Parts: sequence; structure tokens; C-alpha cells
Amino acid sequence: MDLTPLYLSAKLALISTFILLSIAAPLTYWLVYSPVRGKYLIESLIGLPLVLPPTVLGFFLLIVMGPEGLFGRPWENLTGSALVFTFTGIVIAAMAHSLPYAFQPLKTAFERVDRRLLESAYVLGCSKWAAFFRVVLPNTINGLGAAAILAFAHTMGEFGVILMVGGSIPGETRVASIAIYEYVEALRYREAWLLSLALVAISYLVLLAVNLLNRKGAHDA
Amino acid sequence: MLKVNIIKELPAFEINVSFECRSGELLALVGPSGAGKTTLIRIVAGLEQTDIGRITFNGETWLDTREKIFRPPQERNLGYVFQEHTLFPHLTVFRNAAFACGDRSKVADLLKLLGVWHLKDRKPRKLSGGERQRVALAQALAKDPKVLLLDEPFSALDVVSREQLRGDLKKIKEEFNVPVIHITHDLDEARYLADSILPVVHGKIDTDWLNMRNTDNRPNERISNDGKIVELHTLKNFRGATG
Repeated sequence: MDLTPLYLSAKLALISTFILLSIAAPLTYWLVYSPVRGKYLIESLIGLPLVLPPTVLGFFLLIVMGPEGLFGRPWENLTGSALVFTFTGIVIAAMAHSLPYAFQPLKTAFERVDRRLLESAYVLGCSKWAAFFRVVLPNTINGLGAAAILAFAHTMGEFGVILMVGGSIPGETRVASIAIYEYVEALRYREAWLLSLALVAISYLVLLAVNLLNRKGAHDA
Repeated sequence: MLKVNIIKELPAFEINVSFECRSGELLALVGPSGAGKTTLIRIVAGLEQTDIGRITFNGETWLDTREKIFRPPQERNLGYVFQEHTLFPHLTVFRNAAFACGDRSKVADLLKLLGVWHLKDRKPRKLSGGERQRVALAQALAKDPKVLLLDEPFSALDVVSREQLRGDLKKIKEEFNVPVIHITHDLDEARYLADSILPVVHGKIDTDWLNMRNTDNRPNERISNDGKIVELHTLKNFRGATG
């Protein structure tokens, strides 16, 4: 059996989760702690992928990341290669779709940090970003872990958005969920079974890890 | 010399206070809960804004609302000991104390001075309330602050720890020649530690409020308008001093 789709899914999930957290953590910190007005407008925008059909999100991403798109054209000018139907393209699409899954646990974790700790850090000479790295991040490890695990798990099972943006190019964008769909279409149930069971096992392990983290968090608090 | 002049409108009343504190002087801000004392020193620290005000330290302007000058807390070089729970939970006692100071031997000396050196490898959650406040004091002092602000640092402690910490603070006050502003609602504590006492009630300085409460316990003692504790039998111009 070809395990490339499973490998691609894991690679996509790992890379997109890592980049997503690097962006989502400072963004969430800024949203939680800055006195910016109308935060709820930005938070609603971040949460949109939770309620939108993946095909709708995928469609918009396809337009924006396409050769004539707002993001696709400068990317192509800069790198000389297209974004859609590439692995890089599905990394960006997966990040966009998983952002709310990372944002919510991060927001909850950051809000739990006692603001007096931050004030204490400021008085001790820390800038807001130094306080983020020296005080907030070390005290929200469980929240970061939960965000990473949820984003990873969500990307492992991602289907609609990736199909729209990446299509099904073997070895490039044909991830496990798409491969399962195609196996079923072709009545190759044995392969579909094996890949599906592999995804179930991975998803179960991930949820188990989230629950263990939550229990540890409750115990430490 | 720290000079503070603040007017801030709060929902229930207006804070309107002016005071000065010299280097080496401990000024106690006393008064009932909700009188605006904490807001006042948070403004001095730069953690809160004020409507109108001017704060200077040795000629350096930290805040001037008219000139639109505001130096953030990071640029004021203050030591601030909060009421409780502001040690960083992920750091050991030593790393907490050294948070703003790279000089390890100085941090060690401070922890020894405050009697918590033996706890240097412990995390804050394994400390008693008194030990935590000692470490917080070491943390504040390690960076050589220009001004030390203490917001009821002993209020959550038991009587024994409080007594010990008062002694420590007295020691520190003599060693570090900086203005110290100490918020407390304990008059005995203020009397023991302070060079000057400033009673703050509903955001205003109110020496009458304090003298009324003081008469029962110390009939021969009054707080003068400039915050000095005066013994009546040693003071000839008592009338003038009490205003």
C-alpha cells in the first residue's frame, strides 16, 4: 500500500502547525492584551473558518492565491512559481483553515495569565514583547500545546479546502483524506480502510494528548 | 526627590493629591480601603494614566500631562512590590530575584540579606507568603531602583511574618538611599516604619481623619499637615502643626 498520502498529511500538519503557531501566538497576545477597539471584529474574522463550508473558504483562497490573485501574483513574481496546486499552497490553506482552532486555546491560556505578572515585568524593565517571551509564553505552555495539537489534528483530517486549493497531485497535494475519497470512488475499499484506520488512530492519540494536557493544566493550577 | 501632583477622576470621587518624598525617606500612604491609594502609586509607576498631573524625580520628568510627557514603567526604573502573587511562577527564587539584574553576586547578597538564600532553587508555589514577599522585595531591589513602591506588601501575611518583614524593610530603608512610598492601612506599621505619614481619604489628603483615629491609641501624637508624626509633649507649636 502507498503510504505517501499519510506521509504528506503528517508533513503538511507539522509544517503548517509550526508556522501557524509562530503567527497565531503573537497575534493572539496582541489581541488579548492591547487596548485596541473593535477586537471583536478581528476575532469574528479569525473564527470564520469554523462556520464557513470548507468549499467556500477554499474557493476564496483559490481566487486570492491564484495566478491573478491578490496574494498569488506577487508570490509568483517573487518566487517564479505558482501557489495553487502546490505543497506550499496547501500549507497556507491549511493554516488559514486551522487558525481558529489554534486561536481559541491560545486566547483562553493568555487570558488566564495574571495581568499583575505582566505589570511586574514592565516595572522590572521588560518591553511588551520581552514580557511575551519571558513571562506569557512560559506560563502558557499547556495552552500552546493544546493549540498545536488541535491545529495538527485538524490539518491531518483536512479535505475540502485542500482539494480546492491543491487538487490531488500524487506526492505533492494528495493527502490522506483526499486519497481515501479517491479510493472509495474507485471502490478500493481495502486501501480506504487502512488509511481511515490510520487517521482514526492518530486522531485518537491526539485527543488523548489534549485531555492529558488539560488534566495536567487543571492539576498545576 | 520625588515630586507627585495628580488629579484623576474616578467613578466615585476625584483623586487630588500632591506630595514629595526625599531620598532615604519612607512615606506611608494610609487610609481606608478604596481611598485611591493603590491608584495613586500605580500612576507613579506608570501603570495607570491620570487626567492631570506631573511627576518628577530629581528633575527628570516622568509625567507631565500639560507637556504630553509620559515615560512608561520600563523607563522609570522603579521597584514595585505588589500586595501578593507577582513572582513569576515558572522561575526559581534566584531567577525571580535576578529577573532584571545580571549581577549574580548582588542577587545572592540580597537574598542573603532578606534571609531567603536557602530557598534559591525553589519555585514560588513552594514558598510561604512571607518568603514570597521577601523574594519580591529582593527582585525589586536587585535592579537598583530610583524609587521603591510598596503596595500593602504585608497585608496578606500572618502577624509573625509581618513583624519580621517590617524589620527587614527598616534594614533595607537604611541601606538603600531611595524614596520609599509604602501603602498600608495599619497605623502601627506606618508609625513604626515611616518618616512621614500621608492619610488619603476619598482621594484627598486628610490629616484630620487620621488624627481622629489616632487619638484613642496615642493621645500624645499627631500627624502634621506635611505628614510628619509629632509628639505633642515635644512640640511647642502643636496648633500650627495640626493645622
